[in-house]
Amino acid sequence: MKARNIDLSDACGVDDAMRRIAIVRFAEVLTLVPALRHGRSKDLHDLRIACKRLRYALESFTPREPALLEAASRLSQLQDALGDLHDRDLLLLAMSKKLHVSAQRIRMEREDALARARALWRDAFAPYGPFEGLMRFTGLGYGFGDGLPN
Amino acid sequence: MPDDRIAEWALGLIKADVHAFKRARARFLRQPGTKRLHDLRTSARRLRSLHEDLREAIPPFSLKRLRRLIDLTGEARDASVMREALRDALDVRERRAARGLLRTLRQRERITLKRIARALKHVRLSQP
Repeated sequence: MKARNIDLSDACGVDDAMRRIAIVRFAEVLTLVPALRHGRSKDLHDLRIACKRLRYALESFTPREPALLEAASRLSQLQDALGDLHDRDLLLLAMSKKLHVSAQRIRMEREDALARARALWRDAFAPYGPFEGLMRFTGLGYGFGDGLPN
Repeated sequence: MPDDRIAEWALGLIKADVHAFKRARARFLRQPGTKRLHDLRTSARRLRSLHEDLREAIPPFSLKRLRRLIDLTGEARDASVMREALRDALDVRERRAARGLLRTLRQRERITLKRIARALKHVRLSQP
């Protein structure tokens, strides 16, 4: 998924520019979150890329906005879980039918990674949770932690 | 164009990431390995991502060759991680059947590492 262009032409100072970038990148993540519900590989891959973009942006902003540090760290954990899942998807595609017992184990590892990603996402939106600072900074994300299967 | 404070801030961030990438490149070229490949890949992706965020606020500079490098590091990393995951999950009765795939992944990783070393020589990031 291609990153959206961010208009900074009329931004009022550095804090406003940071906020605009964080809003666009967080919105990209929120748009892709249904992937955690249905578990489709391509959409989960796009979500992982969007999490990575948001995380890198937030990490660049933390010297000026330390409240974003927790969100960046949670996004890193989420990215790891989604990365493990993606690695299993690639491996399953490359494996022959002769490896069906091992493939079954790898499918279970994939499910574990998905469950981990869902739990990390849900917990991020808890009151005073890791996304609190990001939600306050962007004004986005309220009501997004609910409704995922375990 | 955004105001001067934003341009100055954006340029500072990009320069720091260019510097980090150059450091990771030098380390990888001195002694290629899994950890150094990871650092190289992360620094390149971070720079590309920041460039996407800030491209309106900085003077234009091309990342075409960096993008190619990111693709190559992804191939090498995927091969390495898939090999490790397969080894960990491999059922003892399927060892023989897995040999071909393990060998293919090992070869793919080795070949891609060589291509990365070659590609790195062509990535010239002039300061924006």
